[in-house]
Amino acid sequence: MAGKQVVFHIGGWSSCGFYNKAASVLASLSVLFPSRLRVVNHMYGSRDEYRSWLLGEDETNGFRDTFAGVSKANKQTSSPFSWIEADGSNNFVGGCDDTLDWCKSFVSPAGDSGKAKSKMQADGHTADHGYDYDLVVIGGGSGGLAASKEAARFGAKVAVLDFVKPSPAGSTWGLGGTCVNVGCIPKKLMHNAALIGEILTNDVQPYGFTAPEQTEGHKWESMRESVQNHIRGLNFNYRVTLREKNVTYLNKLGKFIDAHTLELTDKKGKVSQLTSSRFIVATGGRPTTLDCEGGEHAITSDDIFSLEKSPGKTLCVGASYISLECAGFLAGLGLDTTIAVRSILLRGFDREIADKIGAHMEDHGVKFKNGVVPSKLEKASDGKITVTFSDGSSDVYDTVLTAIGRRADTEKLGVDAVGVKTNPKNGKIVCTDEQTSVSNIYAIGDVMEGCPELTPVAIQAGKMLSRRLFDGSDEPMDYQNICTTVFTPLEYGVVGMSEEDAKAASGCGSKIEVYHSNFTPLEWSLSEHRQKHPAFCKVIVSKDDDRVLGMHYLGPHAGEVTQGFGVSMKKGMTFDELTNTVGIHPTSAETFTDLTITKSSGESADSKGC
Amino acid sequence: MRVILLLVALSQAAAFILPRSPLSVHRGSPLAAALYAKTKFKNFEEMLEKFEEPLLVDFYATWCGPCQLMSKELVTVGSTMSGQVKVAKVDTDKYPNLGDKYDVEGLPTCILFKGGKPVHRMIGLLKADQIKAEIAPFL
Repeated sequence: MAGKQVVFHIGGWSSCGFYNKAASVLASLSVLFPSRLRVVNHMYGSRDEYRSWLLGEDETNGFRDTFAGVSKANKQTSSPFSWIEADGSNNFVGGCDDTLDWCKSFVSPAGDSGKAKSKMQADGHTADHGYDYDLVVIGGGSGGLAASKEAARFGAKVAVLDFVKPSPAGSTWGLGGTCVNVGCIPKKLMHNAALIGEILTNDVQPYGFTAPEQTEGHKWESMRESVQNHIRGLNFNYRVTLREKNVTYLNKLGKFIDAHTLELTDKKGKVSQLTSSRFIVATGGRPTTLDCEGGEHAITSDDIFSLEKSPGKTLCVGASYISLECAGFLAGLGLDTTIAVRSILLRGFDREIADKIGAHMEDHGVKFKNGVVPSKLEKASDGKITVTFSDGSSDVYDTVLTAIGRRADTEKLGVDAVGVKTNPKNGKIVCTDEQTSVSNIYAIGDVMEGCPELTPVAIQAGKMLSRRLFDGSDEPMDYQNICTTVFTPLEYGVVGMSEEDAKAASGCGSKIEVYHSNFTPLEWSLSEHRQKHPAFCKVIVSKDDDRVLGMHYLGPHAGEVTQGFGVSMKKGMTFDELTNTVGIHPTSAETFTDLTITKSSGESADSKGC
Repeated sequence: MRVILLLVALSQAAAFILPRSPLSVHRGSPLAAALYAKTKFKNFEEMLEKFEEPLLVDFYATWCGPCQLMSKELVTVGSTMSGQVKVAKVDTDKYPNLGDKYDVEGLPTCILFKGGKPVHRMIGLLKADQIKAEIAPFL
């Protein structure tokens, strides 16, 4: 909350206990934080004098009426009466309680937005609504399952619909959504397989082991079977858990007929209906398909994790995390892998880090075709696909994986019919505090506009929404400072702003300081190959108040390293607090606590010895 | 004696009743192939009614490791206790509603049915001797 000085006005009369209480708190704060707060007192000698100022001669032309359109101000008669002067206009605060609430938030750390209240509107839900359910959740993925279980916890009658429309290549899966079936879980397992491959290649010998006989190299079918078996176990668990928590599970596709009615279709095509007081749309997204000629020969992330045979020589089309993570583990498993990049890698992420990730992948054997898109795919009778690119070049691949983006899964939902507003560019549902333009219909997770496409975000948002709907909470979801990790071969963990965003936010580069360090994780020291690429971390600090704006880590176990810092960032940690923390030695994470070199100094970021 | 692999299209779900459909026995894993019996019942409930002997039903899934081991143990139970109990298997992935109906929360789960009603439940992998000892009091 650093920055401009707040000019806070408070009016009241001298013997008013509430005025004195509020004014004394304000006076103390302005003594403690003179650069941040200036208080102007408007103290009247008597109640009559105060009222005469506030209400005016005939109670219509007093000071309170200068707050046009603010009915709470216009109706106030009591003391104190406070407001904030900003840019020439006055913003009403309120009486004693409102003033003290403002004072509390003034001294709270910047990251603490827990005081904000949800802006959801009443949706007409009553206990005796007469519908089949209190809540129907459409979509049994990360967000949907969390929201439904939480709502049931408060006694709501809840049903979850989950229905997987097969991918164009015919893949389908069980309950649990994208993350469990065709996202985070299989991705991390296959990424881990690639890491094991790296250990076998790089570390076995220097650490003194005898290399096991790897006559067959990596066997895709074995990995696929283990991964799929694990996923099926998770599907089963989710079913059981829903039953335990008293949530009805329906394997049916839902479509809105009106704001309280859904038409359901099961996998045999049988149609039925149900009604509910409230709905949460949690249908997530699906991969966008290639629209060039022959694009239908390509598969997507919906298919790769259950592919029966090894994908072989693969082309990944796309340059954000899904494409990079898939290409990363495919190359790590020994497959000939190429990535076709239209413009830049990891749009929206920190540029310096994105470039380093790309450089590492290239050294790791991934081929990059930059500045191209596929213009034609032709499938031969032996199954191989010839891809012609926009620059005229062409090559033959066993598999083409499209990872050019994801689109919200709202097409068959009937949202237009009921008036739920969506963003035409991506189909995502526009919401305020997860409430759509139809008051009894809500949306969470990937299907919601503005929601970071991450499982834990959907889960948290779903739980908090259910608390607001069925437990009287008014706490909104906090989408700030969410930590995330990209599981490329060199993993990237981040919480907070990229360097570009920090520069843009602070107005110009001089208001931020960037501390950075290249380092070699100890475990890599015994392998020559691993040392070719150092790990890297950087911290972006605000010069105004020493607050850490962004933390970036490129190295092993990035997710584990980053998680704990998420809490520190929420609490508004300063760089001083970070570097005064004693590091754990020897780890990679401790590098954050040792940072001293700034980018602006021009000194080398390579760390010296131990 | 014989392990019957059931293909049961079941009727019950909490709020929606689907019509009963015919059930037939299916040649399943290599284990059952040598041991299967082809019998036609209308549905699971009818099968429960028709069987005079107690029926030990193994709820399993193809992806569940312990379930595969349990199958082998059940073959032993079936063969050494033929005449006293019949053993059958239900794939909970194919027939999730059956799993739900009988509150199967872990795999493998074996339920002993007598007179159409569940009288004993065993959860987890057990050896043939343990299974026999557990169901003996009910036979």
